[in-house]
Amino acid sequence: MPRARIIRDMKARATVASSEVVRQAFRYLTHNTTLPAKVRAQAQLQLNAFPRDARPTAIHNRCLETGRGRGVLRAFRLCRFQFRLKALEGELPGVRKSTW
Amino acid sequence: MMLSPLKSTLSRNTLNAVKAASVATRSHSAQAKLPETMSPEDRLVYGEPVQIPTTHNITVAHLHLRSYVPQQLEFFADFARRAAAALEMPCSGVIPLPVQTSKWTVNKSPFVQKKAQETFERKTHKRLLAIKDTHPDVVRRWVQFLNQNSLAGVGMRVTVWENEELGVGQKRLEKVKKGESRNRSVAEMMSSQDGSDNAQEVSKDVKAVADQLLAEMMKDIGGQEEVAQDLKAKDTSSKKENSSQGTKKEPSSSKPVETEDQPTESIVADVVEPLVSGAATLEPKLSDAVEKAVAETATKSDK
Repeated sequence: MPRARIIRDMKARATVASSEVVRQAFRYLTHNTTLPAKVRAQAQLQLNAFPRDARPTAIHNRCLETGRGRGVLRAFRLCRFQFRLKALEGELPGVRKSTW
Repeated sequence: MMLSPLKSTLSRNTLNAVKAASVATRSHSAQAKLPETMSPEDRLVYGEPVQIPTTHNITVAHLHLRSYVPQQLEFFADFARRAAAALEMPCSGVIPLPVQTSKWTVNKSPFVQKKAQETFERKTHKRLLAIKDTHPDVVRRWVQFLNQNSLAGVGMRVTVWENEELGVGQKRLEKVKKGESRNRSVAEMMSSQDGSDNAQEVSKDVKAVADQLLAEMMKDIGGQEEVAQDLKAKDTSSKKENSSQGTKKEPSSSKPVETEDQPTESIVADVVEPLVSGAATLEPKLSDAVEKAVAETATKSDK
């Protein structure tokens, strides 16, 4: 059973994926200065009605192994400690201890 | 003092001797060093790859190879070069591109201890092969062969340049205008010539949904005629009375001209009406106490 924060992030990703097009449409209407002010205001109100995890910024990369929210390396999708453990084991292709 | 791996304290003569010894053990040793009794087929494999001379020096394709393991990379680059020679394609020598190094410095411990860190690196080695003066079909066959016999850990990227007849641009433009173009983005560009100047670049799906929503919103706020007018023309000169749907009394024209005298129930109307009529600005309304304080500070600063 994954941790609560992981589930939250998964839910956010699913919500964003499903509502992206409609949300972008409302954003387009809100920002379009050639449309009447009424329309823009109504679009803004409709935007506010979207759930909180429909925002793309609600997505946050987490470590695939542990679910840690901080210190996550994008190239490996692992938090720094898990990255180190796997790198020392040789499970990450091409990664070596750096010396110069 | 740490020695750089690129430089050496050995003399040049020693270095050359070491290189020669190592070259002899590699598969592609120099032609001169091969035994004379060797058959031509074996020479193709063990000798230097045959260099087909270029005719026009027109680059037709680039084979870009990348790997974390330079030995595999060299081997496959050599293999590709020999395959090109077998197909009689003028091919350049293996061109090494700069090594890209990614480094990551991480804390050794899972919790705090910032002073104890460890750095890791990953080196991406790159090689390039330039193919010149060949038919694109031959290049395609070569690429197919390489894909079938690819090596683990070596990534391939092939860039192919093809030549067209003069006047190809004109022909393609005509095709697009007729609507026969298979290039979707160009066809879209040609079809949608209108569009407000201030609109952001939006994808086709988003635009479609936005148009739908806009139509629905305009139904609530105003008539359908106004939708068409607002979208096509930049300035709406006419002010039309809109057919109200339902019990709500909607404000009249979208263009701010007169103040509203009919009170409405919807929150939208309360917010939007003053904006539209010009009675209120987008600045927030301050409470009386705050306004007093602001005024006091203003008078003080004037003095």
